[in-house]
Amino acid sequence: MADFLWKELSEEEREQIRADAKKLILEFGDRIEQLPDREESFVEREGDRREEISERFCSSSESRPSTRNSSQNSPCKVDKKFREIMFENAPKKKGDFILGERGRWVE
Amino acid sequence: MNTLQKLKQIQEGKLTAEENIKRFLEKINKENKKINAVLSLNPNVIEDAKKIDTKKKKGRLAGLGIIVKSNICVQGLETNCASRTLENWKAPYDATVIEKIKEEDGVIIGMANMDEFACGGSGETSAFGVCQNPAAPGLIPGGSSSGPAASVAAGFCDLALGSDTGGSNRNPASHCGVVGVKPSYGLVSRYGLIDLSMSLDQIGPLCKDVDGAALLLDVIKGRDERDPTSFESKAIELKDEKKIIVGVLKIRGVDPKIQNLIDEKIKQVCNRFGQKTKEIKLKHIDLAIQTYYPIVYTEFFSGTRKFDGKRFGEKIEKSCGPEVLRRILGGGEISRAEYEGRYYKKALEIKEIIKKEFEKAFKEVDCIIIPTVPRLPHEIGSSISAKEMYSYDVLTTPANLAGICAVSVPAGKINGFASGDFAKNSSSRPPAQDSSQNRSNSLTKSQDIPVGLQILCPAFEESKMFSIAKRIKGI
Repeated sequence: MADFLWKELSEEEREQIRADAKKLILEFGDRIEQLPDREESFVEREGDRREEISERFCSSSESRPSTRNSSQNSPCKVDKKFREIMFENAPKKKGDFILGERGRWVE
Repeated sequence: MNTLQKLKQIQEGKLTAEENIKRFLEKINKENKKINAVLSLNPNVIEDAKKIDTKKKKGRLAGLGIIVKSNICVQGLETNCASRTLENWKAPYDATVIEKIKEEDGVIIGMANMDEFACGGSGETSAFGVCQNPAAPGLIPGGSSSGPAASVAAGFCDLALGSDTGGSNRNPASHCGVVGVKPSYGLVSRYGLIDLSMSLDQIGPLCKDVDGAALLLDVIKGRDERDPTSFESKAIELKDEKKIIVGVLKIRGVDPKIQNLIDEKIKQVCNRFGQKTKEIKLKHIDLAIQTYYPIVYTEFFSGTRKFDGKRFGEKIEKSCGPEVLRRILGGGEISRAEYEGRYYKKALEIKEIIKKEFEKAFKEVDCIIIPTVPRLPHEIGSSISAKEMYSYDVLTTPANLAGICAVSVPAGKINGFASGDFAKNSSSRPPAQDSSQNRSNSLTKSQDIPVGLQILCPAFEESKMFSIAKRIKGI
């Protein structure tokens, strides 16, 4: 038993949470596994397919689709604020690049 | 004044958007320190309101103030999911729902508190302090959309946006005495929602009245090419439903006081409107929690791999609180190769069975009415096991598993005990807390605690759901 208030966790608390989480989720999983398996069958469905409208995106790498319905045929807008905020959020950057790499940061 | 009346006043020029927003800001400045429902304000909110006042033809949300749960991207605002992982992270774009709100001249007031990464059902797990319940001081406001519900209850906004994965809009709506909606899966685009569980999440409105919630949902819904799981749907229209058959479902473990209140409400509605009831049974509904959590744990583990602290934010495992860590570690466990995905696969199979059970039931009844929560909200900071916490979801998770629509409306109040020391429980963006600061010493006084009634309708029948909800709320 514990309260649910946010707190910083010690290593012991993390290990306890790991053990509790595993126990809980396996208990839930074992309970539902008791139900018999469903027979899988391939079903051809009429009327469940949705017509996909093809999107024409701008080829420029700076652009992104801003239209929600491409049938309106409005041109793609370039969102300068998007780029600005992405760079503001990044912990490491160099010129036009955000540095995000596996492993340790290389200076 | 209800939402539609206020909207009419703004559209007719009897009230300006600027006046409307300024009143909310005044209230927030005065009371949010105690309640902690709002984490940050839109710095341009007055400017945005003034722009709307200059328009001759205003949109459908003209000048209404909206508070947004902090897991829905609003460009330039801190969309931190109430977590240190994304502290100071500003959304680089608007979620589709936010674009639609802005197109219809809704005003974004600010970002609401919530359970961290939507992991919770109490409003206690935020890294930036507990959200209080304005309708029942000292008790949890519910979650994970604690801030949106509390903001509406406290009068900080006209409308709020939350997300509902297993009851996250409906649960706090019940505890705070407001209306909270979980739309049908696919009705509303999830583009720009920081996901908890992609096959269950839906963005939905909260409001003091049914008309306001219906209006906001009608604005934000619709097919979005950027969310391939979204569908087009007909306009939401409230009308006088002809005689309907109400399905009554008995689920074990509900507090008898709550069940009696709901049963009484159903009787009143049926007597007033000549409606019939029919008892229904749904196979495997008792396994809703055991089906829900393996799906959520697995999908949340998958969805959080991007929070590695490289391109933005902090590494989530190093910066999150206990409940988020529990879900990540549990999800990581059952995602391991040795389990071959069998729990997730099994949970999805049962999800499908539950969906078909509801489809069968809706051939015999027009709606199903049950309580929203199985017991009254507990005192903030109470010692409670994860299983007990998860059991709050027993009545709300079935609708998410089935993909149908559901709404919680206030049904009445039940007298219960709560801490008298409201001020002691309040906090606003504190550092890591000593949990004893938020726990009062004893249950000192009784108070009337709101209880919600939940209406479930078939998928994409939101009009019917709202019509029935309005009828019930009016009694």
